Amino acid sequence: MAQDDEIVLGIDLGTTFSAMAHVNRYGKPEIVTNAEGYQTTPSVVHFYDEDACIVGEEAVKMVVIDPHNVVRFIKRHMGEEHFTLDFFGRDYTPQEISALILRKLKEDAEELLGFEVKDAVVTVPAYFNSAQRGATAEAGQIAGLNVLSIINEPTAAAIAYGLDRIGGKRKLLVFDLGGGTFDVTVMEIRGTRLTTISSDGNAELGGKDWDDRLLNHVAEQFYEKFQLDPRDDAAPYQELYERCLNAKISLSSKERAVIPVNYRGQRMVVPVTRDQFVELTQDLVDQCEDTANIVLEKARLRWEDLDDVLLVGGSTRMPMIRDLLEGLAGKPAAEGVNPDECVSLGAALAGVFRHRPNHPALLAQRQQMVSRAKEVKRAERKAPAPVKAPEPVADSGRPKAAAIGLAYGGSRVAGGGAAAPEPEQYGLPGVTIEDATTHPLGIVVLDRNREERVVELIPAGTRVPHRYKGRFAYAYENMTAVRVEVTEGVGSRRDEVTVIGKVELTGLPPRPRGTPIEVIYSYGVDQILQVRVIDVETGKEKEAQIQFQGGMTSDQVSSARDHNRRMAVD
Amino acid sequence: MSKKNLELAHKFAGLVGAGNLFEYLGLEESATSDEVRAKLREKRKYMQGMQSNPKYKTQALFLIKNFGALDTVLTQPLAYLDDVRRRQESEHLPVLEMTIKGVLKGGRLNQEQVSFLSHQATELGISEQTFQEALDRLSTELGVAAPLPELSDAEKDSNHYAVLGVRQEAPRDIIYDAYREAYRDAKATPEPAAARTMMEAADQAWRVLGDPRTREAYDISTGATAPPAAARHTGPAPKHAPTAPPVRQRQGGPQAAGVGPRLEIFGEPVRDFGVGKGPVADQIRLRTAIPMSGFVTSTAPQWLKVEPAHLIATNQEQVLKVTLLPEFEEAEATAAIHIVTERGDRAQIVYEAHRRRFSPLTVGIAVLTLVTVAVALAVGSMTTIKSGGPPGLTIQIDPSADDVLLNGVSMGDGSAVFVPNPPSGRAKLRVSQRNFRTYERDIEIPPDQPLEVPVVLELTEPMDFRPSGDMIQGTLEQDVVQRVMKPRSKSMDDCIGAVAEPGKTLSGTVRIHIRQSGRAQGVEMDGDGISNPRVRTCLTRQAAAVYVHPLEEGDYATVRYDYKVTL
Repeated sequence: MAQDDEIVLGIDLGTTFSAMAHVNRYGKPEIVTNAEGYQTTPSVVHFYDEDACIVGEEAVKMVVIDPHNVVRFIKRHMGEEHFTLDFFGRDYTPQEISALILRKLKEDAEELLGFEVKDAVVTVPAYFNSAQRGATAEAGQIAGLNVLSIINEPTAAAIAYGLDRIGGKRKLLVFDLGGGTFDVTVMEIRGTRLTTISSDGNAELGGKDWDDRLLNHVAEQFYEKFQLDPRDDAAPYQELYERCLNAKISLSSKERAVIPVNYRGQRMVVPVTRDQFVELTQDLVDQCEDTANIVLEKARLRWEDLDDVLLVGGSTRMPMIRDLLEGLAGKPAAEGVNPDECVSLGAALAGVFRHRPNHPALLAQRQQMVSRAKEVKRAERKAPAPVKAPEPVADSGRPKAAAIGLAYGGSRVAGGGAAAPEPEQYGLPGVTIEDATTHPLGIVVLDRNREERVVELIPAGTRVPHRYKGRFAYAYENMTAVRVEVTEGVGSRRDEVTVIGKVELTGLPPRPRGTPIEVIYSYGVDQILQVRVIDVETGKEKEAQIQFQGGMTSDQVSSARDHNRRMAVD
Repeated sequence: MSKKNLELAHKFAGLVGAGNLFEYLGLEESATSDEVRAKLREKRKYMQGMQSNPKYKTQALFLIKNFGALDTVLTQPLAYLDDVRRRQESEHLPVLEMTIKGVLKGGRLNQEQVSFLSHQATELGISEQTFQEALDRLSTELGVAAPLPELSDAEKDSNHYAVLGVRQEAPRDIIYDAYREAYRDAKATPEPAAARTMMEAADQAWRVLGDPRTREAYDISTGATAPPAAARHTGPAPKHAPTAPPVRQRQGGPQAAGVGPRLEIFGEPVRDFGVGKGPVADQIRLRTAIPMSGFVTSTAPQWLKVEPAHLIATNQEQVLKVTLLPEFEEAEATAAIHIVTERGDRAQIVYEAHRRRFSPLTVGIAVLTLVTVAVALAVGSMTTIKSGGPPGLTIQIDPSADDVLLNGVSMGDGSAVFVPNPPSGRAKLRVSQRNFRTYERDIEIPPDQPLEVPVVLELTEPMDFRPSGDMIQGTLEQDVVQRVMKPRSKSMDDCIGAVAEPGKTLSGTVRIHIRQSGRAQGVEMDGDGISNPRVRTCLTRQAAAVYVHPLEEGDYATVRYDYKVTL
């Protein structure tokens, strides 16, 4: 059993950047900087030998020099079958490559903090399916981390954001547009309870797509002039990609950017205005808008019902995204949230709430927090009308940003923290987190015509934990075994969904068709599905845990782990 | 070697636009298995650096994911190449055969035609050997000899068969056709003197060969063996006396049987399909002068499908259905439908498919545009594109039908059904589609005139829309993705709502999002009206059919439905 104050590293394993945080002994979450001293680490791996690689900033620099040995955006391929990359004669799965990033984070954290890091909470996009979640967990195992739980990125962001808003009742829209994934989640904070109401997204949309638009635009211009396409060669492509990426970033603050292209001795400078960029990517923005609207519709809410819009992910820095949400919500997005850091901060907090219930900081602060929550409620009851969005932070004169910055902890705004008048407010309350499923879970059954059909048992958007009991029957006479196949995905036919696990109840006495069989699905907060199959007449039952599989067997994982240990990660 | 792996290898070659993997890797087909596998490994390594490159992404990811399969295929390069060849041949052989048959119909075969056919074969990727086999087989079947050896000019002038370019065993009607052709060729000759000589020679040949008695005498005189009598008399009785000169033909005018061009295509060039209305499909209506069999092929079968693949030999008028398949992955591409009739008439219809407004990531709606129609007749050249329709019955269905019955006989399905030869007079039309009210009507079909019947289907009942809370919830069984991809009807738990005052009718738009994300697929609807508890019915949605094909995981398509809410 782990010590109560043993560290739980909160890791935001992102498509383009990763970040990590921990909760310090005063109960404040703080970002753990990497060995280079940055808050975020690029999720880029460069292999320079069969057992050596570089992760992070240095690897990014190698992209132009050695493009074929550099991996980027590996998160987009997590959970994909048969996806392996070859470096120095060894095939690496996405899990193994992610594990190298995780190991770099782990080792940097150990160096900075001065003690061993064993446990971690890793975040994934809300729309990740079970294979993708499983793969993320496997990456943690390979990296030698004990992944306590996998939590959704928007949930983590909401925890970090909502910590100093606990006590009121707020509805929050988390708009998470990262480097490669996109999620929109509506959450409710009620008292100390955080609930996911609805969620949707696209695991294949992110800042990368904006970069690509810019890149295609520039490459086309270049081609028109010289009949040469810089995308045709790896190194010039990577160089141009970097330039487009930088141009995209500068277009967030400037109206105009220039992108120099240099390929096969030909030179050209392509100017891009912000308006042009908006035009090039309008459909991507539309897609974001559609998803946000769908999520709200699913939550049965209107934009005006929302108290806050929380922007998460680096791509939300783009003015077009800010404008979109401001236009939709009719008010500016919540300020003071660092879109790169809040996910890992929230993950660290969630790790403590869930897995260190007796954390000293938690215990010390809990009582105060609960009483403060009661106070706020009382105040609300007294003056219900104006206090729509109670600001529990006492000094209302202080700009919001500073208050949130404080809540995030000492590393960045230590001065502000010291100046805070009521330090107990920044401790850890006992927070309950309720997530919701994003993919329906079902069961394969035979219908009247004895054709296979998939029946949904736990629909998407169900709050977890959830339990479902269903009664089925023998499809044939004299069966002696029943097999329950657990499926994930939308569809009524087997080939439309994915079978994620099987439970067999054997040794049954032969009986006629129609003999009842009961199936119970229990879906826990840690996203683990328990399946119980019960023969109603004899009471015989079988229980099994369906764990999300990322596609590697335990042997493969352990051999990958051995290799990972041998590997030098700089 | 598993079929699946070969299929993948073939698909990959198609994706990168190479004939086979050797071509893709820049290797000779004689390369050894080790060489080619090493090269593939190298290529994969190269593509690892390209996997985030938008231009090479599809290719790179395909190679990375299916490397194992491709590598396995290349362990047996000979078997693979054999499979490629067989695949190419089996795809293109029918086209070649039809072309050969078309040429052989003329009853003669000269060197020029052989080299034309051989060129066609090479273009279609058919080996010389297979081509020769096909040619021999078909010429034996049709009773046409292999090309006559090149004769000297003197011999040519003296040999009547050579003058007309027919074999000795040719039946009389073929000789007559050849004679007319020779006559026409002569007329087309620019030098009057040469033309006259040619005409005289042709006339002379016909005078001798046209009459069975003089022909027999001529055969004996030249020492040729007498051909079987049967072959000689298979043709119809002589219409013209052999000595009479033939009826003069207009140049380039109708020929062969019947009147009018031998192949006509109806339709307007430059048409768009699939813009939110109807399937991403087109119908080609064509008419042949006489019932003819033939072959229809697509140059890009992987994404542009044409059905049926044959012309129906008993019909003069037929409809071909061209469908854009979900496998269409490019942003823009061109493909052609080739029609080759048994007489060698050829038509080419060029389509351009592109995505409208949406990018490869967002799109669902792809647009098919008919660009050009070119018809080339085997003999003479004639282009016929007729605007409007041929006589016949066209039923336009909004949104689309599972089944269209005319007098109880099924005529097809889809958003447009064309009946080439409808019974004239009163007929009972019945159009059915799930979730829509069956449409029944008597129609009056005029003889020999085009008739277009528009049919607008109405949804059955309020589709179980119930007010609940401040939203209207309902279950809608909607066949959203039909035909274009595998049919996937989903029940939807969703809301449609509108702010409406009692007694007023409100029109609006309901958007349907088709989502395919991860492995999950589904359909969602959202309305831009706001809910109202008092809305009781939600009816008469004049829904345009939604035909979308989610292409990649995470694709979205927004399709607009118009609806009307009446309180």
